[in-house]
Amino acid sequence: MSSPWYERLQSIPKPAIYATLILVFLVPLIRPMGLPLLMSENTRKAYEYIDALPEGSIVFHSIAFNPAVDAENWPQMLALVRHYMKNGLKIIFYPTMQEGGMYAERIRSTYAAEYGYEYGEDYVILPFKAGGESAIAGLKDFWSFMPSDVDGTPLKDLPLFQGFTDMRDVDVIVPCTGSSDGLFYVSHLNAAYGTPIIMAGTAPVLPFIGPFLASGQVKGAIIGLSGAAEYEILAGVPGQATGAMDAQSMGHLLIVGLVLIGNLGFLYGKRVNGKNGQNGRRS
Amino acid sequence: MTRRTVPLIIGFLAGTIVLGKYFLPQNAFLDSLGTDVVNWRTIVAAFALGLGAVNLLGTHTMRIARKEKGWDASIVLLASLVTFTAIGLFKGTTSPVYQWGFNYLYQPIYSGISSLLAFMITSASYRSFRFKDWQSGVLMLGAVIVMLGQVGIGELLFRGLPAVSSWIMAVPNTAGMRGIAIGGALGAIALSLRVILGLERGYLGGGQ
Repeated sequence: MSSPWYERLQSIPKPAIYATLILVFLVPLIRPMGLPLLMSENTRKAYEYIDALPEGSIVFHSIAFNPAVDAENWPQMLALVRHYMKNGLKIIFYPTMQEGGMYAERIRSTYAAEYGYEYGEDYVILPFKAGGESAIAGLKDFWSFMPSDVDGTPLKDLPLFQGFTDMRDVDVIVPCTGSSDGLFYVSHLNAAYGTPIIMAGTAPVLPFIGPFLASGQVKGAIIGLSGAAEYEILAGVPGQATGAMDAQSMGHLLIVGLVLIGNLGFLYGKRVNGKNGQNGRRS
Repeated sequence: MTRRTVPLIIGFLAGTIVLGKYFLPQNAFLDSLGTDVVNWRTIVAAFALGLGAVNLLGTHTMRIARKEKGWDASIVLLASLVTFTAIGLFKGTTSPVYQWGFNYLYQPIYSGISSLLAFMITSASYRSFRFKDWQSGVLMLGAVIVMLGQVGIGELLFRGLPAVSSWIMAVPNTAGMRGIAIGGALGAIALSLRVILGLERGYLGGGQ
C-alpha cells in the first residue's frame, strides 16, 4: 500500500530534488528572465566610497579566496578591479591564500591591458605569505615584511612604491574573502591606523561583519553574487554576476518551496496522526 | 623535562614580547623584537605548508606501495603534486603553463566539487526545516525571509521582504554576533594568558 500524500510530501527522493535544482539553474542561464535586481545599502556604500577616491589613490586589495568560493568572490573582485581601473586608482594586490595570487595574475594577463594599466606603475602583485592573521599583522612593519613583489623585484624599484612609507599611505583596504579573515585587517590595521575597509565576501561572511559595519570600521560591503551583480550595475561594468542572478533567485525560490511543501506534509500528518507521530509520520 | 620546558619558555617569551610590543609601542627594542616574532610566525607557517606536502608524499607513497583502497587515486594526487611543484620551482608560479594548470584543471575541478554543496544544502534544508515547535518555527521563518530577501524574486513576491531581511541581518544578527565576538575575544585573552603563564599545555601535545 502506498504511503499517504502527506508522507510523500516529506520524503521527496534526492534524485528528484537534484534534477529540479539543475533545471531551475539551467533554464534562467539559457533564457534570462529579467527578474528585478535589488540594491543593498551595503553595496551602495561600498561603491560610493570607492567612487569618491581621487585618481591615484592607493587601494590595497587582499585576495583571500580559492576556487571553492570563487563563483561569488571572483565576480566581486573583477567588478571592483574594473571600477578601480576606470577611476585611475593604484592597486596593490596581496594574496593571503595560496591560490589568491593566481587571480591577481589573471588580472595582469587579461584585464590590465583593457584599461592601459602598467605593472609596477599602476598596480603591483605582492607574494603570498602564509600564516593567516600573522600575514596581515606583519604588514604594519611593511618594508621588512614585504621587501619584493611576486616576481622578486624589490618594491623600492617600482614606481608605485616611490614615496610609499607604510600602510598609512593606503587609502582603502579591500579584503575579498570567503571567510571572516578580512576582519584581521580591522583588528590590525584599521584599529592601528584608522585605514578604511570595504569588505567583499561570500554570503555567509555578512553575519560576521555586521558589528563592524554598524561601528563604521567597515565602510561598505559587497556580499555574495548579488553584491557582485549590484556593484557591476553601479560601476557600469557589466559582468557574469548580473547574468547569473536569475538562476540564484530561482534556486532560492526552489529551496523555500521545498521547505514549505515538506512542512505542509509534516503539519497535516501531525494533525492526522495526533501527537504520537512526532515527526508527522505514522509510527 | 626539556621536551616540555623549552616549548613552555618559547611560548612565554613569544607571548610576552608580542603583548609588550602592543602595550609599550614607544620601546624601540621591544617593538623591533615583537615585529620579528610576528614575521617568524609567517616563516613557521610556510614551513608547516612544506611539512604538509612532505607528509602527503609519504602517506600516499605508502598507500600505493601497499595497494590500499583508493591507491589509484593516490597516484593521481602524487602526479599532480610533483608536476605542479616542478613547474612552480622551474618555471615559476607566474608562468603561463602554471596559470594554465590553475585555470583549466585545478580551478574547474575544485569549483565543481564545491558546487555540489548547493545540492546538499537544498536537500538538507528540505529535510531539516520542520515546524516542530515555536523555536524551530522562528528559525525557519528567519531563514526563509533572509533567503528570499537577498534576491530579486523576493521583492516580486512581497514588496517589503528585502527590508525585513535587511532588518534581521542588521539588528538581531548584529546583536548576536557582537555578543559572540566579545565572548570569543574574552576567551582568547584568557587562553593567551594561560599559555603565557604555562597553565595551558594542550598545544604541547601528548594529551596532558
